[in-house]
Amino acid sequence: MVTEKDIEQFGKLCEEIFKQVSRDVIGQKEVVEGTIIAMIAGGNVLLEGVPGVGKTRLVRTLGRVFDLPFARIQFTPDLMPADVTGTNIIVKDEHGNSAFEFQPGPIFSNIILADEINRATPKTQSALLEAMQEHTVTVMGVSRKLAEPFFVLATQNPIEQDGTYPLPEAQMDRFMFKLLVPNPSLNELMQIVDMTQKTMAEVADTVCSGEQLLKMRETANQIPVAEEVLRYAMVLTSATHPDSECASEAAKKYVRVGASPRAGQALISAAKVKALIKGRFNVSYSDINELAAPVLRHRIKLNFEAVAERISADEIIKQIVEEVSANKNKYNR
Amino acid sequence: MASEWLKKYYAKLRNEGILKAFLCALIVGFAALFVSATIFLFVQWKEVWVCAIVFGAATLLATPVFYFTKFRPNKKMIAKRVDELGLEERLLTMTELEGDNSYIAIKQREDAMKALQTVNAGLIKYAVSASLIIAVAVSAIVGIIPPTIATIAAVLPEQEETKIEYTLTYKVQDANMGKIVTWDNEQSTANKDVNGKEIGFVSLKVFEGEDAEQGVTAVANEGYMFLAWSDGYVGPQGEITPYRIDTSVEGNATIWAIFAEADGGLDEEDTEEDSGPNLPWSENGEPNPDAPPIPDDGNGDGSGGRSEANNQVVDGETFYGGELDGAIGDAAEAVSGDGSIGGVAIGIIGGYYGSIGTN
Repeated sequence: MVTEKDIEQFGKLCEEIFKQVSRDVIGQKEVVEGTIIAMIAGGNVLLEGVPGVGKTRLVRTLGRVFDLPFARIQFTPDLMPADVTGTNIIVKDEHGNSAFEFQPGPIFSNIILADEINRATPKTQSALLEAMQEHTVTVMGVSRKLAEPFFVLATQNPIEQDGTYPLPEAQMDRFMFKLLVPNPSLNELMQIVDMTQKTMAEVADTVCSGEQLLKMRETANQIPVAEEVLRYAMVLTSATHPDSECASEAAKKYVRVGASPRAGQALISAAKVKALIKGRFNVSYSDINELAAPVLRHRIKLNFEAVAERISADEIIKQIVEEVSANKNKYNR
Repeated sequence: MASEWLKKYYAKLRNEGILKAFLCALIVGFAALFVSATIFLFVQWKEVWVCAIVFGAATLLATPVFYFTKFRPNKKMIAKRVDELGLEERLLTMTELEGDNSYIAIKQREDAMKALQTVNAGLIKYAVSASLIIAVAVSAIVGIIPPTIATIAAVLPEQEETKIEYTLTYKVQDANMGKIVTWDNEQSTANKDVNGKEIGFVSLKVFEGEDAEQGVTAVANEGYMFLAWSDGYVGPQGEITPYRIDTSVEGNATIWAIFAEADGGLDEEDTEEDSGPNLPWSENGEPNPDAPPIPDDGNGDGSGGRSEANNQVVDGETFYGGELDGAIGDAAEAVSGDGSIGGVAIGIIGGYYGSIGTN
């Protein structure tokens, strides 16, 4: 049951979180907002950007701000699944008897930075699947629950593709958002250089505990969504499928595989948080539209025509949003 | 509280609903107009004004139907329209949460009502979709075509078929020989030939392709007999007959009734005159009053006309009218006989055409 105190605290904490993050991360407003929304909504985030634009720094800062245990896994081709999940080792007890004891891997943390995730082999990448979706890890037939809240914030470099293993669709689908980290503007670059000349260390203060974050998630989940808005979000998701009943023209032309139902769930969960951050107690069409690209861009598989015409997923999503938005009354009773 | 803000916007959206319903009804009206006028066209019923009544009735009946089934504003519709003023679905969500007294629902209502203060009914513009207007325009254009055609067809007087009238003129070459009378015994009209003698003729007016209203009879005077018609008319059995009625007339025609002296009908004077050619013109070019009148077809082309100095084109002596008489007589005999033309006639015709060719 949400109370007035919860609402007030949500607002205050959000304000403080943004304030503290902005102390360490210059610019990148959309990326910061997207990452925070995903963390409050309980989703994982894939950050894609060229080296040096602040991906890792952002994740480290968020770890500080949320006062949560933070683990960084540098993904490399020789990284093994056990390096991520942990493994059973033989230990001797005080009586000299040998027994298996589980040695937790770095995934047993609250915030995981999976740096350059696409450099690990698919076998190692898949070690994250269970953790990202069910928040459990199974080793040697024993499932262990991860601490809540749990987030995977992964980064990947879109330029260097040699020796990388593109993430499989199943893995991609487990990221709530794929955020594109752009290069900073000239002013931002000047501020970054100015700031880092003084100190390279993060200066953000801790403002939110794990419990508070979970409470924020609970509060956001109570935000009502009008039936028509919910239908709109689902139509938008379904419109990415070229063979669905409400397939958009852009999807029919350029999309091979559309977004999964997880996209619909992510849209609504994230839209509730976004609405509450804006101080609104309901989800609007604009919330859905603004979140469409980060939620859908990594979930749609383009066909050959799109690749040949060099049309990006974002452009296709923009067309789908425009089309569905123009015809939203068509799908409402 | 909810009903208060509803009242504020209801009137405007009700008017908009009526307008939209009327436009949709107009499409129905034009469809009814099209159907009714098309039926009227096919059955050729000229009371086109009934179509206007059909149009009006269909429109009036359809307007409330559309309004109450589709365009009557309800709470949700009003909320959506007001939300379009920038309220970001606050009112839409509020209407769905009506009756929910949870803290978040109360908070949402408060937020919605607060946002509602920033807008007013004047900001809502009548919104009629372009597709609806286009549909009305298209249906108007399509719907109005049949009644227009039906109206034009009804207003315009029926055009009577214009018939060409032809004149059939029946003439005799010599009033002394006979006359033409119509079958209703009307006297033939007198006309004078170049010699001042009266000759009889009958003119009948006949429409193209139709039959003459009555027939004519060539009546020979005493001492003369009817020989033939100049156009070779024969009776139904193929016999030469002085009675004729022309059928399926296709043009103006002048038809001569040809008479000849009956056997022994000629007096001595005539016999003496037969000793030499009785030309219509003397050698010095003066008209010969004793020469028989020359048939004149009146068309001025010289064929079969009077003997004049300028139509003696062959030898300046031969009166071809007289030769024609003889040839026609021969032809009539030939027609009534075995159909062959005698050697004399062949000679004349050959000479005639030969003279034309050498002239």
